[in-house]
Order: sequence, then C-alpha cells, then structure tokens
Amino acid sequence: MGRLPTHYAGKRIIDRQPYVMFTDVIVGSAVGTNPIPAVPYQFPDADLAFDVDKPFEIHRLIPWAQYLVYTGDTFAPTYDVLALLDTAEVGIRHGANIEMVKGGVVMSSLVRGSARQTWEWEDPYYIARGENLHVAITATPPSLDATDQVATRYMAAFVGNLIVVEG
Amino acid sequence: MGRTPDTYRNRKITARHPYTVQSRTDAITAQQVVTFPSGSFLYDGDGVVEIHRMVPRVFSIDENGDVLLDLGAAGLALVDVMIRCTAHDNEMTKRATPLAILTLGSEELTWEWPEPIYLQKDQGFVVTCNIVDLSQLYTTDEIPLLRVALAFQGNHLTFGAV
Repeated sequence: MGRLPTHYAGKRIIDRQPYVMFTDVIVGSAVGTNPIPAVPYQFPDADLAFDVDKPFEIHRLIPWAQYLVYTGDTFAPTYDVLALLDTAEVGIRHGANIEMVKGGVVMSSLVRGSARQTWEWEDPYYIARGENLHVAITATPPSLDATDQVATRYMAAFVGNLIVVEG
Repeated sequence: MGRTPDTYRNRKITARHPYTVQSRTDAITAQQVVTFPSGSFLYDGDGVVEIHRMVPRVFSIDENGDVLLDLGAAGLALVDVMIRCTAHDNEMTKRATPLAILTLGSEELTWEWPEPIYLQKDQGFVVTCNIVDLSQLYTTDEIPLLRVALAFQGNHLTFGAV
C-alpha cells in the first residue's frame, strides 16, 4: 500500500470509497487449436473508460491469468498464475500519450511474487471522468492439453478508491 | 489493514468491537447469475459499524451441501461479482470482477480498504455473482456445485464526548 495523500488538486480529500476497474480477454476457447500463434489482443476499451463523477485514485494494478480444468469427481481449477503471466507481454497507456508500461513487458514481471501478485504504486495515480486506460497484450498461451485444459483468460484490474473532496 | 479514524461525523470513537456480516449462496456453474438472500449484507442495528475488508471464499460441495474442498484463490477466479454500496449509493466495481483479482494474492485472500466504509441502519452492500459458465464444455453431471461465501469485517463503534 502506497501513500494516502490528504489533498487532490488543492482540495482536501474527505472520503474514499473502494473501486475497481476490471477487464479481461479469453484466448483459445477450444481444445485442439494449439499451437495458438502469438497475436495481439486488445482489452475492451469500454471496460477501462472511467465514467464516474468522482476522481479515481488508483493504488495498484493486479494482472491475473487462469485456465480451467476438470479432474475426476472434485472440481479443481488448477493453474499457476505466474507461469501463465509469463506467456503474455503487456503495454498500458493512459489516454493517447501517457505510456505507463512500454509495450513488451512480460506480465509476470510487474508483480512482486507468487504470494503477492500485485503491482503496488508508491503514489496513487488519479484519473477523472472521461479519461481512458488502454491495456493490450501479445500472448502465446501454453499449448492446450486435450484432456482437461479448456481456455486461458488474461485479466487486469486497477484497484483503488473513488475520492470525495471538500467543497 | 487501513486507517482507523479517531472520529466519525465529529463524534469521538471511544471503542471498537469486532463485527462481521456473512452470507453464502450455493450454485451450479451452469447458472450464470446467483444472488445472496435479500438483505444479507445490510446492517440492521441501531449503531454505526465501520467495515475494513471483504473476505471471499469459494468451496466445492456435494449434492447434500457438504463441503468437499476450499478452492482457495483458484476458486475465487471462477466467481465474478458486482458490488454496490448503498451507503455511498455507488457501484464498487465497474463491471463484474473475479473475486480473486480483488484480493492481494495467496498470502492474503481479502480485499483490504485503506479507509473504512461506515454503515448505519439499513445500509450495506448488494452483491450479484456470475459463475464462470462451463456448461458448454462439460456434460451436466460433470458440472460441480459451488458455494460462494462472502464476509464483510470491521467494528461496531462506541462513541463518547469529543
């Protein structure tokens, strides 16, 4: 957890309300299509278009990936998140010009480790209504196992707070 | 753990007593939307509670409702939630979001808030779940039963003179 500023744009912050902007893209939805070529995937811009009338104070990015399997009688959605994040390179922009992650960074290298899979920001990043974040990946998902693996889902969430400022 | 303010609406907080509200719902994964019982996460006392975190859990269960397995972080990735806070009259999630991605990783399967949310009588959270749809991938008798349990944790507040 980074710093919690007392002010935003010169005004005192009087309340914070937890808020999340999440997006995902699913790759390789059918068994038997491997090897899947490395191709770019754009996360839906609509997911990351900020449209609330309070500023969004972002504290962390959480990248995530999973695939789903079914084994025997007990449901066991086993996966190794970091290994899957190794298979995608990501680029992140704020608006048209502000590059937050230069394209080509392996997703797993953004996070601290297997027990703490977040990219924590020392100072929060603020976006206002009408602004947009953009996330794109180039993914080479692991080869599908014809017996149990069914799809790979890449995800990203910007986590923080809506803030209320005085007067 | 986030901040624990000294005051609430200019009233001095003199004591905190742990408070948790929890509910659960059972679903098969073929169901796209499941809801918790009405009012599950609304505070119905006469005081004020401050909520610091949400604690999600997902279990696989058998047809008798007995728990087979706590699915941990993997299970949390199978359930997307939309959460609305009635105290702020705000959505807390822009779109349905996996429970797993709200937590900080296997080290800490909770969604911690830097500042608490305060609830008074009849205020709280309205939660809708989407279960990842596996119905196109498995035959009906293979699809497992899931139990989704959510808890909101914090404190009941006692006030004194400022």
